[in-house]
Amino acid sequence: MILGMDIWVFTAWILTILAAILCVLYGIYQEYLKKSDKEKPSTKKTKKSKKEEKK
Amino acid sequence: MDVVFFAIFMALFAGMFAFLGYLGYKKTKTAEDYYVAGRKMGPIVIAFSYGATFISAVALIGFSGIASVFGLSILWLAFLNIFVGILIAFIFYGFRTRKMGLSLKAVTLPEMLGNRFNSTRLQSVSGLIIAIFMIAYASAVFLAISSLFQVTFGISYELCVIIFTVVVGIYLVVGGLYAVMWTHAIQGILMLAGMLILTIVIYAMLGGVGPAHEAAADLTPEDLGIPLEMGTVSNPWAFSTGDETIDLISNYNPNASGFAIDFINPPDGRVNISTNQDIVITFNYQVAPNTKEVPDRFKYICDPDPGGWTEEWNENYTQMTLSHTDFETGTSYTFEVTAAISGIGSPAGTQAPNGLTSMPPALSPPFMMILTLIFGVGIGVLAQPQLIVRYLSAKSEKALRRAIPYGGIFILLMTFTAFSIGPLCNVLMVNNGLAYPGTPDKVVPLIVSELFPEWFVFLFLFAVLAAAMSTASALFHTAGASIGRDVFEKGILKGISQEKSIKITRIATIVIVIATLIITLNPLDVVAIMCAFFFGLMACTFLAPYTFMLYWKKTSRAGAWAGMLGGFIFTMLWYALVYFKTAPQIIGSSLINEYVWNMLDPLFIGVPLSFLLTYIFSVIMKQDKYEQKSMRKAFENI
Repeated sequence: MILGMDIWVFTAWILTILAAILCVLYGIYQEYLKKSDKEKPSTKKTKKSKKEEKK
Repeated sequence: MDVVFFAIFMALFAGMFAFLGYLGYKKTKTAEDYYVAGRKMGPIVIAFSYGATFISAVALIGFSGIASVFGLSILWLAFLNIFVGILIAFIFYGFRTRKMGLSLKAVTLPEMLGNRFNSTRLQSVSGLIIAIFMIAYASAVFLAISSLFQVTFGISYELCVIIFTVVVGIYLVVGGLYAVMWTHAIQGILMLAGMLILTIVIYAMLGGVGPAHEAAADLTPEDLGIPLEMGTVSNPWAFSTGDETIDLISNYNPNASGFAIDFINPPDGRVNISTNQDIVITFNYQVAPNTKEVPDRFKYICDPDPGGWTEEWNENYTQMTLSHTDFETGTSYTFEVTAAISGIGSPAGTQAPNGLTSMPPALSPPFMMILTLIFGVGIGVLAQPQLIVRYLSAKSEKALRRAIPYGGIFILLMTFTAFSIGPLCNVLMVNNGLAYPGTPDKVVPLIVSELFPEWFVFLFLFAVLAAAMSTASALFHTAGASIGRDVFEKGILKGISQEKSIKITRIATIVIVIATLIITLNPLDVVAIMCAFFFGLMACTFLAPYTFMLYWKKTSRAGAWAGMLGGFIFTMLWYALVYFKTAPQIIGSSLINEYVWNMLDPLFIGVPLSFLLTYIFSVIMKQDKYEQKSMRKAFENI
């Protein structure tokens, strides 16, 4: 018995909590870690930036 | 409970929701505003609205009661509620549904199906199915909450039904989905507060998580209650009186096993019994020893009935002496014990054979019951039309993504708490000498009313009312849209203006509210049956066409029809002819009486069948050019 529960019930208990944590982690990833397409730094140099570099 | 307090709280409740209804009315300018809140909803409102729609009073009260009978194994459902109901639902269904809904200019699930497969008939038929079963579901929600308030406040059931239905109807019809979703946010906060306090206090009362679970695990069948096993001695038994006092019998004590009568006086078949002879029954277990007062713990009938019965138990509750008015001389009597329950009287004694914190044995009846619940609700959530509308109301994909953590936490705090406290209520009942209240859905209200202060009883009751109202308003809105938009506007009255569209849906919603009111005031058994299997039925009917519509470009109209009708007809037939709970009520007995088969939820067969039919018919009867055009439009943003 773990925390007064048999292994199958404990598995359900811990998976429920983990699923909620997964939801939170997903939110954190989407909000703070994943860079959106707009925010991704361009790999190709634009004409403008090339001119600026020449200057 | 004080009726005046109820009136004040209810007036505040109604006033606040009516105000939100008015604000919704001011914001509602177009059909999109009314049906999908202008597709402008942010993550927190979406998450709360999704959760409050999903978690009804049935989930809070009914499922915690079920957990008190079947134990913590029902936590598998809490896991699926979050993992499938939030993560899978939003990530694999929500984002695509929103994009496709925008491309197809659809505001309901039937409209998405209709526009995607270029078939107004498909839209109308699916709208009709949804509306009919949603009326039954909403009716069952109001029935449950009105019964609870009737018992607590002593207000008439009819008055409760009328007040609750009318309040929901007004703010919904006036304010559309704006009002529904805003009220959901407030109702969700109330639900959270009520369930959190309840759970924390119950765990604290029992010494924390570990000790509380251990206390639940330690409850024996005798603590919980096992019904009388007849037959150790004959029951009923018969005897005849003589003319005068005769010698009494000696103790009769066969080799008794289980909870049973092991001694009766006067003994079976004896003649010339004294006319003033008491009836004495001895049990080989204590009968309801932990209870202050257990109604119906012991029932008996005597034919003919001499009347004037008084009951007296010995100290250990193992022997009952029944005094009565004198028997008639020279008369034969039949005496029968019809019920006797040990412990607090909870059916958990037999329904959780491995204890309240362990899984029941595989394929045993309790195991099958839990399996049915877990998959019926856990998987069924993916195809609930009232939840799908929430995806369509999101202002952006980002809003939907951000709703996931809020939704996950909300469902955790609602289902995990509700399901966990059910078994613990049994411990509190035993510890406090409270009797099982008769049905599982009364277990948590009993604990709240007996062991909590009055202010919390109010908070809890209004949290449950909030859960009921939030689910009912979402159901009314979806059912109203199904009839107004899907059946009338797109089917019968094609090409009407936006203003007329909203007006028709408002009228349809009023009709649905009135129909629900009438049905709830005159409850039918069939309504309860339809409600209990609503989730499973929606999954069998819509999950396959909905999933194929989102993911497989070659899905054809014929495939969608076949999957939808195949799943629907199979499920209805299974409930009517086979399923052990419904078939006996409809046709007398199940056509398949083989165990496991007759307890199998139709979802296990209906959903795969519906997927198979959708696929096969899509392959055989391919899309025509109009369908292909609709398909290209549907996928243009995906």
